[in-house]
Amino acid sequence: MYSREFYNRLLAVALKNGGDYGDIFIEDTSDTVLLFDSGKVKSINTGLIAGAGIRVIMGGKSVYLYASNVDETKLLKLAETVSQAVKYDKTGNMGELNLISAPSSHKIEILPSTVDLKDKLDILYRADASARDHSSKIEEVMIRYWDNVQKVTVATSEGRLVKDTRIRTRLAVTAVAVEGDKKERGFFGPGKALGFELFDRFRPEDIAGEAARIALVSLEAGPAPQGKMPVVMDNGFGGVIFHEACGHALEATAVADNASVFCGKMGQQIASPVVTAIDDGTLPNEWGSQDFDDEAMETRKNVLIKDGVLQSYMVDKLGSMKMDHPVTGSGRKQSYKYAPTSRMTNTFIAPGDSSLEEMIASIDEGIYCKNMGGGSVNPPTTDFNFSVAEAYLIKNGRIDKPVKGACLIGKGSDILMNIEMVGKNLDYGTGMCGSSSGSIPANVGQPPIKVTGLVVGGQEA
Amino acid sequence: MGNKNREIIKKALSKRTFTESGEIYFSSSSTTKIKAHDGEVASFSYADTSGLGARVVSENRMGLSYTEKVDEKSIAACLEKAKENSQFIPPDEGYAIYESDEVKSYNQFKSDDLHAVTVEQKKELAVNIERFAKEYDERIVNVPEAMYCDITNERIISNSYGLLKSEESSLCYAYAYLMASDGKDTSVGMYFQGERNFADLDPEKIARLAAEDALEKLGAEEINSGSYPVVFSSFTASSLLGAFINSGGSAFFGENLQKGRSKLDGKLGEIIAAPHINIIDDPAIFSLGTASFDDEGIDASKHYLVEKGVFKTVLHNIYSGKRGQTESTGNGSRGYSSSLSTRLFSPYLQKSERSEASLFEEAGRGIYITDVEGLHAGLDQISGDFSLGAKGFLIENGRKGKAVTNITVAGNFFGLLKDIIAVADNNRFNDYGDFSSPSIFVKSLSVSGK
Repeated sequence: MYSREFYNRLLAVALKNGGDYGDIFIEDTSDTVLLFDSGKVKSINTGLIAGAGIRVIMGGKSVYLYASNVDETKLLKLAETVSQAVKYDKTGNMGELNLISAPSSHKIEILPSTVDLKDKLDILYRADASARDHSSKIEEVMIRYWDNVQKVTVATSEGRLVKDTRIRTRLAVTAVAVEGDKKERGFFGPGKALGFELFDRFRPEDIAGEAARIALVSLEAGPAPQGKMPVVMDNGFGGVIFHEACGHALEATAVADNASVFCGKMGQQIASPVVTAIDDGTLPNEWGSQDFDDEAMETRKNVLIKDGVLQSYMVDKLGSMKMDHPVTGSGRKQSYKYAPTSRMTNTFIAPGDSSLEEMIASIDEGIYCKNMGGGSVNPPTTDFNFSVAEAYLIKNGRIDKPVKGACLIGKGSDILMNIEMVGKNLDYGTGMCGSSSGSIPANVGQPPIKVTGLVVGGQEA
Repeated sequence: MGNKNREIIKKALSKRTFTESGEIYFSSSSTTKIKAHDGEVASFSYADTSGLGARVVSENRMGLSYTEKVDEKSIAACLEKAKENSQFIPPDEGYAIYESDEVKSYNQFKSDDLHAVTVEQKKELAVNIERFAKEYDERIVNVPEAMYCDITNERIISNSYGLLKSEESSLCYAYAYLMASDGKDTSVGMYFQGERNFADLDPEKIARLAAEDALEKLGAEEINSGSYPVVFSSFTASSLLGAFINSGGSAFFGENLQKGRSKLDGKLGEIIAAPHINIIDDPAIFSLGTASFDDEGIDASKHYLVEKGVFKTVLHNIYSGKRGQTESTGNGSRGYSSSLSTRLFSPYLQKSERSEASLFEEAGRGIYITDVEGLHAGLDQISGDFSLGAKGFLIENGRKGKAVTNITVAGNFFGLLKDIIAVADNNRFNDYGDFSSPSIFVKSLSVSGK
C-alpha cells in the first residue's frame, strides 16, 4: 500500500529514541455478515476495516499506538508519538527492508468478492430449508454467513516486510427443536481458510442437518449426572479440552510473566505418554492457518508435547525477548486494534492407537461427549471449564441414553496426566478464541480421547 | 472535534443520491491502556479510532454498511452500499429508523477530571496497584495484570428526518488480576473498579480486595456432590443474572419473545419471581454500560423489568416495537459495524437493608459461591438451564467456612428467580459486568464435586 522507503522511514522515526525492536502493521479488511432468521434474510452488512498500528519493544516492555483512517501524514505522526513514549539507550538492528514473498500454501479458488450477493444468500435459503425438512419439530433456524478478506502489511526493524492476505468463510447454523414446552438448540458452524468453495466441501444442507440433529437429540436428553467419572470425548471440536486446559497455559503470554503452571517445565513429563500435542499454522486451508503471523514470521508446525514431554511453548516476539525462547510464528491478533501476543492456530492432539469402541467398552459408568460447546481457563492454575453440547451416558461398556446441560471442569495439569487413551481418527472443529489480542479464528482438534476423573456438573437431583 | 464530525455527517446525508431514508451512526474514541509488571510499565497503548455505519430503509427493506475510512467519498460509498444491500432483504414492516428531527448534544457521562490527568499519573496508578498488592501479603507471588485504562468517546446518530444527537462520554477503570501461593497451592484473585472520574479510582483498595480474593481461596478442598442452599456473592450473582437478563438472548427482549425464543412469552403481568424481587434498568445511574440515548437515537429511560415479582416490561428497539404494534422502549443496541439488537443501560436487582453475613445466618449451612466460570457457553438462554464451573466457601453454622474448589453449580434461571429467598445490601455499579446484583440467597441448587 505504501512504498518500502516509507516503511523504512516510519520505523526509523518510531525507533529514534531507542528500542530493541519495532514493527508497523497496516490492515485493510473487507467483511460480509449475512443473518438469516425466521425463514428470511434478516440483515446484510458489508464493511471495511482499515487502520494501522506501530509498536516498539524495549527491555521487555512495549508501546503500541494504533489508529483508524490513516494516511502517510497520520502514520508519520503516529510514529513520532510512539518514539516520544520511548526512552531507551539501545536501538536494535535496522536492517534494510526485504519483501519476503512465497506462494501461499492456502490456495483460494473462489474469492468472496467475486461472488454475487444473491449466490451467498442462496446458501442461507438452502440451509434454512434443509434444517426445517429434517423434522417438523425444528421450529426456528438462525443462520450466520461470514466471509472475511484481511489484507495486512507488516514491516519490522529486523528487515522483514510481509504482505499477507487471509481469506476465511464460515457458515454457522443454530436450529431450535420444540416439543411441548421443551425447547432445545443445536449448533454446527464449520469454517475454513477458503473462499466460496467452502460449500463444495461442506454442503449448506449438511451443516444445517447436523445442527438440527443435535437439537433433536437434546429434546430426548435427560439431566446429566454429577460427580467425578471417566469421560470419552469424540474427535473434532472435542479438542477444545486441550485448547482450554493446556493450550493457553503454553502461550508465552502466560509463561513469560511466570503466570503459567507449565513455567520451567521444558523437557519434563507434563502429560501421559500417549499424548502428543501440536500447534500447526501451516495446515492447508484450515481455519486457523495463515502463511505469516501478525509479526511477519512464517507460521510453523510446533510440536508442543511429544509422548507426554513438554517440547515447546507458543512464543511471540515480546515473549521471546522476555523468556529467551525463539519465536514460533505464533504472534496473532484480531486486527490493528490490538498489539499481537502469542496465540494458537490449529491446535490438536495427534492420533494414537485406540478406537472409540475400545474406549467406550472400557467404562462401566461415565459419559461420552460427542459434541462440545465453548470453555475457558485460568492459566495460572489451569482450572478450566467447558460445556457439553451433545452427550450420552456410558453404562457397562455401551452408549446409553442422551443427557444434556453438563459442564466439565478440572485442572489442565491433572487432565493431561489422566488422558488414558488416544484414538485414531483426527478431526478439527472451528472456533473463535478470545484473549488479550482480541478474538481470532482458532481451530481445535483431536481424535477421540478417554480421560479419567473429570468432574461432570449436571442437573440430576 | 464534535462539530466537525457532525457537519461531515449532516452533509453526507443531505448529499445522498437517493430519496429513501438513511441514518448514520458514527463513533470515535481515544483509548489509553497501561499494564504494570515488576514495578514498571510493561505495556503502554494509545489509540485513536473511528468508524461509521449507514442504514438505509427503502420500502420496508433495510440495508447496512460500514467503514472505518471517514471522509466524504467513503461515507458516500457507504450510503450507496447500504442502499444496494437493502434491495436483497425481504420487506418487513419492522424495518425503520427514528422519525424525529431532534437536535441535541449530551455530556452528562463525561469525566470531570480525565482531561487533566497526565500519562505519568496513569502509569503511577498501574504501578501502584502491583506494589500495593505485593506489599499486602508475601504470599502474593505475582501480579500478571495490574491494569489501567481510559476511554473517551463521541457518538453521533443522525438521519434524513433531521435527527442529530451526539454524546461525549469518558470513563476510566483499573483492575488487578493476581496469583497467591503458599508453596503448596496456587490461587488467583481479581478486583475491578470502573469510574467516571479518575480521582475515584482507589489503587490500594483494588490491590487489597484482589489479594484477599486470592488468599482466601488457598488450600481449598473438594466437596461431595449434592443439593445445597447457595449464596451467590454480589459479583457472581451479577454475572449470572446479567448473562440471562442483559445479553442478546434475553427472555425480556421483544424480538426474542416475538420469535418464540423466550419462556416469558405470554407472561406479561404475571408473577415470574419471588414477591420481594425488583429488577430495574435506570440509565441515570453511572455504570460502564450507560448512555443518554440508545443506538437508534431514542432517549434512554428507566424501566421496571420485574416489580414485586411481576413481569412488567418487554424491552424493544424500533424493529421489535413496530412488529409488536408498540413503541421502542429506547433499548436499541448496535455499534457502527454491527446489526441491531437490544440492550439495557444500568440494570440491577434492587438491594435490601440486609448484610451479606445475615444471608449466611439464614442459610445455616450451604455453599457461598464467589467465582463462576463458563458463562459464555455453560448456559442456555431459551431453557434457562445453566451449569457452571465454580469456587467458593462452605457455609457452616451460619458463617463462611473453608474454601471449596473444583465444583459445578447447576440450575435454571427461571426457577432461580422464584427461589431467591433473600437479597443483601451490597450492589456495585462500578464493576465490569452487564448487571448489578447484591448477594443473593437461593433455596437449593445442584452442586457437583468429587
